[in-house]
Amino acid sequence: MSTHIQTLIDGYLDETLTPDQLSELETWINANPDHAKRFVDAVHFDERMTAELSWQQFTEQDPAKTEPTEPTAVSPANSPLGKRMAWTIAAIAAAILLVAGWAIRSTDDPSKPNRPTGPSVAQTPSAPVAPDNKPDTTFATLVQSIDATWDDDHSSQSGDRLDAQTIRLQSGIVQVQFDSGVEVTLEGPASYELQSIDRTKLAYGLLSATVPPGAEGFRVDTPSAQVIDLGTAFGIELDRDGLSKVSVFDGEVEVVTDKDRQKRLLTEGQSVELSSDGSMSDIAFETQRFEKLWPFSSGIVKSTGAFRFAPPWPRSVNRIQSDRRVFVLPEGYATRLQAPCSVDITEPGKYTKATQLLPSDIPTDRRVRSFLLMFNPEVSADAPINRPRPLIRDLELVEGSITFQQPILGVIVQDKTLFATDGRFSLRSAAGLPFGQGLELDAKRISDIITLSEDRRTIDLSLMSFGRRGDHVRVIVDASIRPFFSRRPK
Amino acid sequence: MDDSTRHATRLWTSAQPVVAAFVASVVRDRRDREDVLQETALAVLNSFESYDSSQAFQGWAIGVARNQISLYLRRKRRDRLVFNEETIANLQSTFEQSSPPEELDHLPTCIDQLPGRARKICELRYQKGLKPIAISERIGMTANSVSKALQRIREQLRECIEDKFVSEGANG
Repeated sequence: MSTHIQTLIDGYLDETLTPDQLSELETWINANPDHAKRFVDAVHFDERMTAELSWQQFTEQDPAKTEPTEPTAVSPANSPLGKRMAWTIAAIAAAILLVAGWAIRSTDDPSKPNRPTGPSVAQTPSAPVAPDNKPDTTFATLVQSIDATWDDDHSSQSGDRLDAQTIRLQSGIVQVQFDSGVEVTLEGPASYELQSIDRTKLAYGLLSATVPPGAEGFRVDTPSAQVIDLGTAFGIELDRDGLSKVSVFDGEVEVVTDKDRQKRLLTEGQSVELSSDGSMSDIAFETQRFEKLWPFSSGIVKSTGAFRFAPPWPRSVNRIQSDRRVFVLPEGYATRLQAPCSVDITEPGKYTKATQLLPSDIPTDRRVRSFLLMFNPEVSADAPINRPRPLIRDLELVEGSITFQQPILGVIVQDKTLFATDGRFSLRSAAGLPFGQGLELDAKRISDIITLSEDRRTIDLSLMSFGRRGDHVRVIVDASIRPFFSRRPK
Repeated sequence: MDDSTRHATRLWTSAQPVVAAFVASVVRDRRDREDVLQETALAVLNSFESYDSSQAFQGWAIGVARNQISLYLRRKRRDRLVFNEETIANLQSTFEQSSPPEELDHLPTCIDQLPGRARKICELRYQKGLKPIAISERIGMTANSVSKALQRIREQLRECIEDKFVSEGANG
């Protein structure tokens, strides 16, 4: 009986039953609550099959590539091919947005890292203590300290001005902003010596820095080489055997080995390995080690809920679609505005209606950094069920908050303002950005909410998303270079 | 969006799979099903004021869906083969008590294990929403053997997810 009934249930689900078979199925369902339950479970199964297969289709194929609908013979090789295709597209599009930062991991000679002594922020003998009546010798600010454990009790705090000294960290992350605009993020265990505004020396540790235009020539010496920034950004990694890896994320750097003054110009996407004896060889480009530091080096303090940092490389905006995720993409380097920048929100508060927005301008010459918060719902590109209107059934609430280290100067949420600022902050053209639009404030009661906190550092987003659309929000964050904290080194 | 809409959306998001399954149990045509579900979602949001929070939301939403199904059947009933009122009422109360079985969470793994042709048939059936007759035209089988194949594949998948569910339970 079981098989016969199963045939009827399957026939019903596949819409192949005759009227007689349908009545037979109905009679069976209504005869017993267990029967009804079994039928209901079969429907649940069917629904989940639809959901899973539609989902897998999306994740395996390039969303732009629509499934052929012509009745040709279908080869089973279809889907691996689609996967490969998607990767090729991703690789080509990877140049759209790149992370601005470079990192170093280094090991000094074995005695040094283990030496438990020495102040964590040790002033070198030549660096004068700066009492208030003496000239200010500081050239950098400790802007951020996250779970940092210093090598001893001499720890610096966020806001401390720094002069020539060595930072020694057991663990945690600190970020230093040089007055030139160079930003260095250091992860312990690390030992990093600040020599001057453009010369530093990393003994060991993982380090990431942003070198904006105008600060070219910023230099990091490693035990076996000098790494000189020629504009934009790159990465270096040094392991405990004295082996270092230099990777360029963006722009160009020059590597000069100590031993034979061998010079090598590296451009983005390239990596070399330097052994402790100073020899250099090409290696595969790889960024994984640096990804952890990336949000911090971008000036993001924390995020909760749906926010995810977009992987720095390789990156294609279309590729990072993910359901229930708001991606945070830093748009290039901090930059000084050449012209006023229109924004929709500047005042703290909760915004739910377009009428609440108060468009204004961030004035020329302000140094800012731009972030794109991007939510791209994953949707099936399957033509037969594509609708001109969004399906409310796909409606989902995506919530999260993101806190920046510096005050938010303005938020851009409307289509036209977004459009006007697209490409302005990106390293390259924003032409590759996917379908996406501003927030839907107040449309049909189902809309998005954006809240700017009182201290202007946190944005809360609550996005109602449905159908094939993406919400974009551009956040303009203060990137002024200034000793914005009053504290002096002691 | 006000707090009440937000609340409604939250509730709807959690009840939606079961409501969708209830709609699917009566309305088999894929496009019509999407429409009925869409109307149901709108009706849920628009009549949320009348929802008595002492009731289970899932039951209430299924009731809303039932009304939408009735409206649809009144408009559409011509040649379509559909369940009678008694069966629909029975399904309604069964769905009210139901939730998607937990073992369904193993479906992705089991689907991945399907051999190529079975996988293809599943894709045509579930991804493209094709009926056996349309599938048969594409892969050079008779409609009847497609139906049989689908039945076997489902059986296989059901065994697979139950095995995984049981062994997972045994492992703690």
